[in-house]
Amino acid sequence: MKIPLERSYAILIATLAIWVASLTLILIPTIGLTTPVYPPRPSYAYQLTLLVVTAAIASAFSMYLGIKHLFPDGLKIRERLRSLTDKKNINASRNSTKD
Amino acid sequence: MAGLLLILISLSVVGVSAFVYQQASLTITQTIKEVATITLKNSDLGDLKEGESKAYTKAGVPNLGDAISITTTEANVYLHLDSDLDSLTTHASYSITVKFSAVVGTTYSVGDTACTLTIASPDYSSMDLDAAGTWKFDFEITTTTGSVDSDVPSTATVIVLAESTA
Repeated sequence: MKIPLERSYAILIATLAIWVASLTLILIPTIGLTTPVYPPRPSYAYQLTLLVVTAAIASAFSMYLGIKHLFPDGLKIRERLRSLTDKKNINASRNSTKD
Repeated sequence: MAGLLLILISLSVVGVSAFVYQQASLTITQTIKEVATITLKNSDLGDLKEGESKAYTKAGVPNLGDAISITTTEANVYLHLDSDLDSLTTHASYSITVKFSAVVGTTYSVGDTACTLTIASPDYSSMDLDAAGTWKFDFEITTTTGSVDSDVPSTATVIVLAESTA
């Protein structure tokens, strides 16, 4: 499935924003901005889940866009493998001709 | 360049999230947790001459007011105070009186003494916060310096730990 580039950026920015928000919520008692809470409220577990989910989405889209920028024509793994196989076949046939 | 930056962002997001998740998971599973570390330096309190006694309250040193502040989400959370007052060998006496400045329920009143830490008894275990809510504590310090050969900086550290029975 191909996702348009503009939409990928929009998803990346949105998930990064939620990720930063959940990270801030988790960290503010630790850095002393709010009163420490003990034992942690149940909402703390939800914040952690949100952090992990948004991190996974943001990381995946960021990686996707990074690779897209570095290799605009795609990785073309199949074509590269095919050309490698072709080269091997050519070399093999050359060697057999010499023999 | 933009591609490398995006890949770097991707790896950073994963790294930071993994670290925070691991630390936060420890917090959730722990039954005892450090909630504060309080450092009292004589440079903050003012110099003392040899043999001089002095008392500090929040009226003179505002930072001593609400020195500990904790919100409990269930009843019967126990606070433990661990200090290193026993290492203050240059002081003839050093005591920290911990007083309630905000309470929940009717067991304690504002101004009651929760505990006293001294050189001979630097730790206290434990005060029972018997109702859920926000609790605050003031510090009052009384100290007498001993005989010294030169200016001696001194630092007292108090670690506050919370423990639940759940």
